[in-house]
Amino acid sequence: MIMDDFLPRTAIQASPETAPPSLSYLQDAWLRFRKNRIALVCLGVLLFLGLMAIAGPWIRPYHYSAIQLELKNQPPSWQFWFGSDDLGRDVFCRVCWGGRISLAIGLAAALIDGVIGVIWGASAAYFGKYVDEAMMRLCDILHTIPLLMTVILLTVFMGTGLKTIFIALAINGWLNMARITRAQILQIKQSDYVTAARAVGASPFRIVFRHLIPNALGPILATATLTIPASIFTEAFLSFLGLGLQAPIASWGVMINDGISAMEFYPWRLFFPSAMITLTMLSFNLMGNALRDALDPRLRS
Amino acid sequence: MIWYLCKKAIILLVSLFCVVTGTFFLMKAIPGDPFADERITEEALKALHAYYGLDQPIWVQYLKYIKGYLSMDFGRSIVYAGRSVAQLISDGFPVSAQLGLQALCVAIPAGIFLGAWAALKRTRWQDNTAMVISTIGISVPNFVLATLLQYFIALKLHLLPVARWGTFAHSILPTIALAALPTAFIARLTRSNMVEVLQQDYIRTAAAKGIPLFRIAMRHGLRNAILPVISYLGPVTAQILTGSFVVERIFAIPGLGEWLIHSIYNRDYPVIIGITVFYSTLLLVSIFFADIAYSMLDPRIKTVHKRDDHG
Repeated sequence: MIMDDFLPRTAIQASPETAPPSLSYLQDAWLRFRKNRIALVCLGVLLFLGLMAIAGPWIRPYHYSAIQLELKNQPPSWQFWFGSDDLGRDVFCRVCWGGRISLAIGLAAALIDGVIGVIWGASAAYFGKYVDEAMMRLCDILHTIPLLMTVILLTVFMGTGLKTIFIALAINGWLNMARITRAQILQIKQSDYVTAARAVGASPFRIVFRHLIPNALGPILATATLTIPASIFTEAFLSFLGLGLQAPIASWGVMINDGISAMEFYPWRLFFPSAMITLTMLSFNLMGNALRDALDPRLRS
Repeated sequence: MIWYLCKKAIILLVSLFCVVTGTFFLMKAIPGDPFADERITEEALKALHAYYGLDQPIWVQYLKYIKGYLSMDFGRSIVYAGRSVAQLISDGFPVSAQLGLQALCVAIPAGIFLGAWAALKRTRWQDNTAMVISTIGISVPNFVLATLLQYFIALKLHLLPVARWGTFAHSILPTIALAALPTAFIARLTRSNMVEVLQQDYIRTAAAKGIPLFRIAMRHGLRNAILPVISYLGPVTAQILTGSFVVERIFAIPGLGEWLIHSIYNRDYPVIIGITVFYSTLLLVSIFFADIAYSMLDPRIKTVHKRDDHG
């Protein structure tokens, strides 16, 4: 034992070669996301499904609602990749068309809910006190009103269709986002750099949009990703019950409802749309969970 | 605590008022006459309006409706002559309630077991398996699951009846289809709570005392981990309700969900209003009681909000 062991330790100057590269938040999140094999597979599946939804109807020589009665209920073959239905319509084209509808609804709902929810939650958290209390109580009340009942009443009131589904999803879809944003921002608001920004005279607008929202982005993105499958489900559920999109439109819910009556003899009419919606929802859910983990700053390496 | 109860009660009452009033005025604002038909004479139309109280001013109708609501009397169906809405509810609801309760009886134990198991075997294959099962449970839409069960178990293997309602055997497949989503939901919740609880100091203390792991998990872990599950029984009720619409349709079960869907197709306004308001009340009250039960059971009375999944 030598005296050196008892000397206070001085900081080790890391040489540039051995120091870990400094990464931005998003770079770091991407690195961790990439390590998650399941999430990568899901991303791949979703990209493929998206491509199929966009390009699918163009690469086949059929229109999704073109009726060919002499070719009805054909099993899957080279002519009809996924078979044909009771009116001779190509199931592959219809499934792709349904994918366009579902993805559009999911993405649009995530965007609408995200924008409303983030602005609402951020304002509540930023202004605090009575404003916060009033805004969050309103959320509580809206939150107890069941989505199903809103949708049913709106369907009766406005008739079925895409517009009804969007409005119903927008009415209470953003509540979750508002709560999560608020919780995040309340936490960040306490941090020193926000105090510093306020001290140098930054406007509230600048503080909210420049400091608070970007730093709360992780959970917001993860929540938005998880909104997508929920919205896709809601549309398919309504269409399945006959309260959403209506028959000639090829929504997955409509196709599954049609397929049930024929499942004993023509199971492909039920199988393909079911498989597509399951695959889509599964991928979005798994990817959302992986994103939540990857974007969680507490798990940063 | 009293303040918390009051706050929750006020929110319940305000929400109930909004839902009940909103339903009424939304339905009244729909243009057109439910009885409008070329074949109907002027007098007959008047008589019908008088019979259903539609000739009175709107606020009289509203007061009557509120009075009816308080005694769960929603008037008579327009389409099924002579049947009252209350009668439809008392016919359909027991079936839906039985199905829902059976599903809860499956979902709660199964979900808690799956979640606790995953948390105890964290980051090992058991954990992954349990979480894959629960992600699938959340991702497979209930109408897909119900049709798959019907196709393989009833149609192909002939193990259980394909549809209709009657014996216990008829209710097995619908119950499974209905229980899947809440099971997955409860499993995830239990897992994350249990993981958190297992990191607490008192668990380490118990382990240091030499108590076997199984007993620690049961006595200290699970007991604290399943407490938050209680507060989720509200959203779970909503999930089961949503599921019941689909399951009743697929298995041709004469429950309340089927009546509601039919009344929407038929534009049978009193039935739509009655069942919607009945279901909303049921949901709001169950969320209220779930919150209250949780805050009473949790020694730390947490009033923070937590997120919930779709349903």
